[in-house]
Amino acid sequence: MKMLKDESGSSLLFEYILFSLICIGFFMVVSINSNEIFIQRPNEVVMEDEMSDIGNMMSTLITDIYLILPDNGKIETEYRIPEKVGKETYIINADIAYTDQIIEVVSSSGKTVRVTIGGIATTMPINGTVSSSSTYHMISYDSTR
Amino acid sequence: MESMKDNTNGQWIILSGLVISLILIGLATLANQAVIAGYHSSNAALEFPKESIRELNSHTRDNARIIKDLTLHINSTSNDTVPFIYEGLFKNYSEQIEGLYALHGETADLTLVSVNSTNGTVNTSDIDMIFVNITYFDGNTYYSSRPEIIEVNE
Amino acid sequence: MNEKGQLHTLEGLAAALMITMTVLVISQSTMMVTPQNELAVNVHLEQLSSDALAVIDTADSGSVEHDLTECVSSWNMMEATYPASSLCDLDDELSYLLPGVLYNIELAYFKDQNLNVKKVIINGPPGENSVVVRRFVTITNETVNDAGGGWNLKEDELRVVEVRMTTWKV
Repeated sequence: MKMLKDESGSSLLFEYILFSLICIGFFMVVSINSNEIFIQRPNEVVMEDEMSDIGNMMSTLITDIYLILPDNGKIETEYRIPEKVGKETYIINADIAYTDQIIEVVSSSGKTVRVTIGGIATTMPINGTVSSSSTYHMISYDSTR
Repeated sequence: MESMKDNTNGQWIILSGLVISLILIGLATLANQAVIAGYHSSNAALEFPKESIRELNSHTRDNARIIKDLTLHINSTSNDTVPFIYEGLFKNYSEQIEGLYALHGETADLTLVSVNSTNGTVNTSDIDMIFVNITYFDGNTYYSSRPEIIEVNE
Repeated sequence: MNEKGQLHTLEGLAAALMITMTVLVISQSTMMVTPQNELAVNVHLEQLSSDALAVIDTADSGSVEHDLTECVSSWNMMEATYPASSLCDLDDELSYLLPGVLYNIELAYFKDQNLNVKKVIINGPPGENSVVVRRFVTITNETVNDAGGGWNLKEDELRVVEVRMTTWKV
């Protein structure tokens, strides 16, 4: 317990140098990683949220359309999606719906969010891809073809 | 100033301040996420005219039966043929429903294609199949069923 | 100035570490939160309301006392004035199906090519975030006579009536 009792510290000059070094080191670490910490991380969180939101929107639309499909006829609906999630463009891929019963939302950096469509694709064939770079899109179903 | 510098009491207050601020940060993050989550999915569910189309379809089906009953009722006291009366009543019905849909900025179109009977006697109570063309458009969503085949023999 | 206080310095370091770690943990964890924004609440309310009307419209006479067609047919052609209702049966059934939800009901129909919109149930002015659901019924002279309403239709006439319900939460 000698350490606890001894209250003398390092000399003022040495302490000053130590502190300066620590501060410089800290500043360097922060400035190197600032992009990762302050931009990328929040962007990832926002992207995750928005992509699953958009995936859910597609799933909702497809389920609603499935509920009101005409026996002989067609149904077409226009919808709008945001140009970017976070800071990236993205693609909605429904081509794997038939085999996997899911829709993929893939961002340009490769982040993927998958949303289930509950087995609808076994009775109603679903396919197509959508790129976010154009704003207007359409889902179309034609039972006569 | 001197007494403030030397006074080291009050750790509990400082500690509780720290705890409260951390809780506030957590709550703020939660609230933020709840606000932005699910805009597009909710909006799609609200905008898509699922109920309008469903109602147009199911009400037309119900009505084909109501019109059939009314037709047979009128036919018992009238000289007109069953298909003739049916067409008149259906035209009256479709005009009313088209007007009511137009009130909400939606175009609905109901056209009677044919009144059918499996054993060929259209002029009696044997009519069992009604073919109707249903079209709906609200600016974003186009729906057409041509023909919608309605069985009216219960 | 003196040169004492290593323990205090250590304490300070520990506190800084704790704060940094906590902020990191919070900012890195993706929290899953049930959407509670206004739109999601509206979606829920719209579904609830249209289901309530659908239940009353399609249920057979065993489960509800009067279905929607009978309720509308029994209307005595008198517009309601706040806070009364001129379609009591429908009001009773709806208040049972929609607990905690307020609603106004209007009937819209064409008579001699003219549009009529009549208020039949008034529970007050609709609040923010109210939703409108609609359902159509067809009434004939027969249904009106059975229900004892005042529609006064001709024998060969059918009338399409839009039941328009505005619902909101308080």
